[in-house]
Amino acid sequence: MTRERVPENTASNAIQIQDLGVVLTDTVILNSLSLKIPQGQWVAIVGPSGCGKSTLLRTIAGLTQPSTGTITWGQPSSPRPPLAFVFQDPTLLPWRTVYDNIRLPLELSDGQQSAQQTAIAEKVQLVGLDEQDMTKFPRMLSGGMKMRVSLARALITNPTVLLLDEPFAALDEILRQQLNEDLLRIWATNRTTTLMVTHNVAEAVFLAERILVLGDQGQLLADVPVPFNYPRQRPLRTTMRFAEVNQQISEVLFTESRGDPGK
Amino acid sequence: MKNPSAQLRALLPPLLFLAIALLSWQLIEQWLDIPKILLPSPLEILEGAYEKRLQLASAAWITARAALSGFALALLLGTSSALIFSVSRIARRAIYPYMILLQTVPIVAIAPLVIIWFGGGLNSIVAIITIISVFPIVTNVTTGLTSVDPGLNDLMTLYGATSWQKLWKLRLPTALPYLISGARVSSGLTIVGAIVGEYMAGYQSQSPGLGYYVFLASTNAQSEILYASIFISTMLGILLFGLVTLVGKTALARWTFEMEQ
Repeated sequence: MTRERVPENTASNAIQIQDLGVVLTDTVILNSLSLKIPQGQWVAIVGPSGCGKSTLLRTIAGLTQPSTGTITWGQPSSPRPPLAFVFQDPTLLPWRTVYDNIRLPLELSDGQQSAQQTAIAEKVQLVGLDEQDMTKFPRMLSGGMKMRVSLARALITNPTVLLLDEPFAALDEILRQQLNEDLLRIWATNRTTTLMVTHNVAEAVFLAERILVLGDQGQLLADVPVPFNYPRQRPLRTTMRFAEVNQQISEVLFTESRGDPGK
Repeated sequence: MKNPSAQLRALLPPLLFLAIALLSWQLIEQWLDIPKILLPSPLEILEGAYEKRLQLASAAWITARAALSGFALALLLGTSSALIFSVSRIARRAIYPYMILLQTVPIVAIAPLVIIWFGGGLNSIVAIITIISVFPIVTNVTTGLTSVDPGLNDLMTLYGATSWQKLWKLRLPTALPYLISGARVSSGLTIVGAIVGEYMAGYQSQSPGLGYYVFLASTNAQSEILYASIFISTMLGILLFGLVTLVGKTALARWTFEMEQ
């Protein structure tokens, strides 16, 4: 267990999860999971398929109701802050233009009309899309571009917590790495507390400053700090140290699946 | 998209076939001297239709108007029932199976019943058209409203969308392609309903529609008028189907959804 190695952060916690349990149709997905996520931290969650990592993210987002335990934001009585969710699919409305898709969260919360246009143009630029792309419909975009639109939509509300559920799983490796770097660049601008689920260990190591490894039963196997400073560039991926951290995480995952035959 | 000359080339074989068929029909009718009452020649039909052109044009207009009224009513009733089915699971479970069953009751069998309720004339005709054309709209729109992408639904929930916002911004747009394909099926059925309705209930109308001409022509043995009425009502059906298809294609042009040909 490497759990103790994470230093107690003196900064206030963005999210505190206490004894969280989720049971869906008589199946225990998560069982008394406790976590503290400090403000501004980038946390990656890795684990075998079906271990409940997506459920954890959905529960934090309020899309799945916990059976037991609590999730608190900041101070115990704080309301849920504005959060954004990037799904594995781009989840764009096919009948809306890129502009109108990005605008959707503001529209649903009755945002100020006047401020929208510049804010949307700003996010479009931030995620690496062109201004001309704003009038396009989703069917005209490539998979990578759709994901960028989805990211811009998540950022439009200036969320305090960003939840990413394997957002680049469907993309090829080159595009995935490119988007990883773009994501880091965007994150560096305001250091939003970020929780990302991925099954790609290298992606987790490259992006996150802390990696949570979940086991088959949704239990926390390891809580590993990533020893690299930001900003991180592509060459990091080829260093010895990167390979070591990668190996360390993979070993925890591998031992777990080997130690439990039939899974 | 095909270019115009390719489209013309595609049209040529069926047009050529039609010309040959009409010519053979005309020649065989003349050579064998088949009585007009059994099989009028294309020229006799044309002649008969020309003589009655004003009546037939007026009848076509009356039929088209009845068909459009019934179609509009079917769209309205169909979409509103689908909305109820989509929000109420109980209504969907209790009533929806009967909607499917009712669809199989032959319209010719129901028509006399409708005439008993609404009397002869336009009311009954529009009611018959509505009954026959409402089902494809109900079933299609209900399917559309209830088959929303779960991911998009999560997205709406995440940003705190109200049920009304979900309906307006997600469910209705999702259901639009389903509504259009339902309306395409219905549009063909409206003319069937109009002809059946007018055949059975058109006698009281001041200005009869094509269905009543079918009835009159068959009882008076005016085969050429019968043929002309069949031809015109078919054209009306194609026209309405084409119109709905065109409106549908325009509405969905910017979507990924492709309509079947």
